[in-house]
Amino acid sequence: MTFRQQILALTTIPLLLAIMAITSLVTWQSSQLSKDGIQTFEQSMLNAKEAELKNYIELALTAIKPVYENAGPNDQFAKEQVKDILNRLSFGEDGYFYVYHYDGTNVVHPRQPFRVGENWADHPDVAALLNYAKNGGGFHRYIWEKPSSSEVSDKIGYAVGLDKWQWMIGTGAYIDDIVAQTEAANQSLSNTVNQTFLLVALITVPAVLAVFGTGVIMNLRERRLADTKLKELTQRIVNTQEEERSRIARELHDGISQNMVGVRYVLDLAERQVREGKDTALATIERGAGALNTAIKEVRRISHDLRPGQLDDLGLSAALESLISNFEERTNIDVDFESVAFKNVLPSDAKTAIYRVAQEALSNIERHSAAENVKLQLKSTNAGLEMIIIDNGRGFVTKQNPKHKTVGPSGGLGLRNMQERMEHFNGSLNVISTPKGTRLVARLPRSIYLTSSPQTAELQGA
Amino acid sequence: MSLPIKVLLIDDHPLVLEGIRSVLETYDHIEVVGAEASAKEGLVKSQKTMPDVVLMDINMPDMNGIDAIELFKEHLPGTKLLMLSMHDSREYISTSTMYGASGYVLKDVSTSEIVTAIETVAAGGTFFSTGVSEALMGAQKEPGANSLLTTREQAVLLLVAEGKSNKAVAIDLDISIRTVETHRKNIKKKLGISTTAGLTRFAIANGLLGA
Repeated sequence: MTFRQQILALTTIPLLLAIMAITSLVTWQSSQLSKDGIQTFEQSMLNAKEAELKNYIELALTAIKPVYENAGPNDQFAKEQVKDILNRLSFGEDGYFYVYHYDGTNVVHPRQPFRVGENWADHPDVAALLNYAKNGGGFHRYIWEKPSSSEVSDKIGYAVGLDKWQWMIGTGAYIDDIVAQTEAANQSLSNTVNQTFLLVALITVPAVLAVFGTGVIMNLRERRLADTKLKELTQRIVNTQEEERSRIARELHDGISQNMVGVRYVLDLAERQVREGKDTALATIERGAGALNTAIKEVRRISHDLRPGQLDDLGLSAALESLISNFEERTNIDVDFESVAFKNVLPSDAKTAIYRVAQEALSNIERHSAAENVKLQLKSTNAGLEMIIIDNGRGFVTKQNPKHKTVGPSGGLGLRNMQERMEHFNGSLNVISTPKGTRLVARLPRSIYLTSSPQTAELQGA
Repeated sequence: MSLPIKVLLIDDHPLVLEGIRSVLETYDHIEVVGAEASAKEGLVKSQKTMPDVVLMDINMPDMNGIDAIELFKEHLPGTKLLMLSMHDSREYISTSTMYGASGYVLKDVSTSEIVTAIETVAAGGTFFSTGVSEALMGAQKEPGANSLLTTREQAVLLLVAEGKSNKAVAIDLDISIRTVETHRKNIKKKLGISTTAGLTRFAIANGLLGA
């Protein structure tokens, strides 16, 4: 995982977690609320049903009251009268009254007459109802066959006792409508929850995907850009290197090599002359030594071009001094040089960088500026090293005209090259060019100074 | 004839070293007392052999010939330094003389010219080979416009700026207190500063000391 991906993950994962937490909390709360609502609704419906049942029983008791109150415990006639009343008494589609003897024998059952006379004490619901009736009456919830449709469904029963006759009188109501409504409410609740989830997902997933996508695209784009830059840079380095190599090869081959071949021929000639005892041999050898000297000078020039030894031996100031005097001789442009009194405060590669910037700047001045005067100043302060090069030439296009940003006066990458050299050391390069002249300032930070000159350390050891 | 001139050769190129040595040994009035590959070895050798003239290359690894001039001058004030170099640029030549060399000879001159140079500096004169004098003539710039401190002077400046006494500096650099005093005098003259506090201020203002 790259650093960029880690950052992306670090920002996205908390976002995802937060969204998930909020979603589940909201969903949980709303579903809890709805559940409470459904439960309350169900309870109140059941309460209503129970009140209704109580009323029915009151009604039935009122209907049989005149007969029951005046009858004795074994008054068969009165019992028949009551049975008759209850058999005829009904409400609604599935509303009826039943009577069981306390011992479980069915006495009245208008909708299921086959139960009459049989003992149902073993039936758990009948037993439960009997138990309630013996103890002053109560509700019992159970499942019973619905007479109108012969379907089994939820039912609430209410029974009270007629103690004088050892009878239980009861009725029941089917609550399948309540159950169905509750279930429907529950269903719609879970639908709502699902919908909420879906909605959140529909909003969140694309949002997170968008964040991820943007990140990935940005990442890719930047990488591609960096790749392109790197490729360009590599190509440039390769090109420069190749150019440099072919130039050196040419100089070695055309100059020194030819020269050496010449010396070889001269020595051959001298050898023959010595063998033959001619006194011209001496002059020939001298000619060879002269040719050899030319080769030595040539090597010196090439090696100086490749890397000026003054940088290492004498320091930056002396190397710049030498560069400037060559420049003055070559171009007749007057250079005013101001420098520092000390040396070797910069590491070798930084010295080289400053030297190359000066070289490039002077070369630009020579080729393009038509300047007459140049001022080159090398300053060292607490902030670091500063090299200022000012000319009074005609200037060129710089960053002020961004279209030509990378096109330096050498028609190529001169300025950029200088800039890169300085930036490598956390330094900077500023160029201000006007038609009246150009001012170039190269800076290197104090932090790259050598704390104690290695030269000094070396001398101390000597 | 008087005593032969004692010459010590220092060059990191063995071929050059052997070439010069074999040529010089053909002269009766020159005695090659040593041929060393580095300035440090040369300094050790010269303290044993006390040469009249040290013929030394400039481009050498470890310590270059120019920095070595000062060391020889500090430890063997009577010995003459004659630089032998491939470099014909003015900066090398003027720096060498500023550091105390008595002569400067290019490596591509004839051996007889090298012998003349040795004879001249041994007799107390100064000698510049043909190409060198041309380079010096080529630019009559006023010396001291950018008068640089020598390597040794810079080392002394840093130690003094750090607040070290002459004695401490002398111990640090393994030289005599008198030599330190001479360096200090030269530094003050070159920088146009008269006080020690001024030297410290200069070092800090120029970023030589971490403030």
